[in-house]
Amino acid sequence: MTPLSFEWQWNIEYIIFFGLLYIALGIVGAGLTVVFIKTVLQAFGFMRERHF
Amino acid sequence: MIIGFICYSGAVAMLGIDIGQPIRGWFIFWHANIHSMLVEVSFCITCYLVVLLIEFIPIILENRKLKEIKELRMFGHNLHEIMAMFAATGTFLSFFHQGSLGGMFGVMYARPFAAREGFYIWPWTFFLFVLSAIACGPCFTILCTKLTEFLTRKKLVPDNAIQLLAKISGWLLSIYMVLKIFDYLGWMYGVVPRAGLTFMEFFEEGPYGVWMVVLEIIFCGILPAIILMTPAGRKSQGWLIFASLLNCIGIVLNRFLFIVVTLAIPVMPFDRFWSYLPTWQEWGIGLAVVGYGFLLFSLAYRYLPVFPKERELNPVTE
Repeated sequence: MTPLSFEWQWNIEYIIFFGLLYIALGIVGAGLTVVFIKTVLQAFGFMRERHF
Repeated sequence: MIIGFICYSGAVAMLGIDIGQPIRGWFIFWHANIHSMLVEVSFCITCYLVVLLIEFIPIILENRKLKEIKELRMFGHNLHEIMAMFAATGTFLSFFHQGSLGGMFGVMYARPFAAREGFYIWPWTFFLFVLSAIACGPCFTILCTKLTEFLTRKKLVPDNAIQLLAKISGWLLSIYMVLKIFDYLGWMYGVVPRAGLTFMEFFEEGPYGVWMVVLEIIFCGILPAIILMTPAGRKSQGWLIFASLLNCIGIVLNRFLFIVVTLAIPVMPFDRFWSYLPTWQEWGIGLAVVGYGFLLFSLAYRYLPVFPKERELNPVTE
């Protein structure tokens, strides 16, 4: 459900419940995006690979 | 982490079957009932499974053949670099998942005799479920490690690591037991009489009895806590496994007593006492998940560096 869905209600319960879900999904999505971009940049030689 | 992935993916698979129409599983997200604790639990379990999968990927990419592919190695290393962020998100998700199971009766107004007082909207059982899960987790990990060591006939984890896990588990379990005993007393002498019931009414019919509470608190709670907190107790292989097993059984019993027994007693004049025994289909699904867990763990042990100290602990003698 998103704020654009017909079932959505603009009250604090929906905002907290879905807010926390979207924050968690956002962190995971942003993290994966950063990792993808870094890997592409490293693969094409625009960034150095860090060795552990 | 691998055990966590196996357990959560198994739980999601079981839930998928439980809801009857797995193909409509996405309804939980799209048509969510935000007043349902189980919706929150479903959110947390599925999101945490994604996080666990992300945490599992670097280990898969450590496979010696996959490591030879430069791009995959880079991807694995980059994921590993920001793993703390994923782990923190995972902690938040698992915290609320366990807690919501404990807080479930707080929203079940038809059965007010199980809901405790608490902090703001969270009943005490919310925090007790979180604490008991943290107290039991290290023991379950010890059991899985010991079983793997037994099957492979190798030493896989240094003793000091096992001892530390056992010690942490013992202390957490003892703190949990003190709080749980207070919770039981508060419930027996406060919540239950206020709801017009007596403690014994929960155990009048069916295969349940007070022996389950005694088993949960004394034999599967206080006893393993003492063994795990005593250095001599946890250093003995037999006692350590025995205490870990009791700890895990105690937590399962706690969930059973809190949820199934509470749901069993009648609330309407025409209701009857509903005892629960899994059907053969439920046993089948449960055993299938156990089989899947063994299979995945075996594959992980065979192909991935699951125990980094394995070579050091098992030197080859010429």
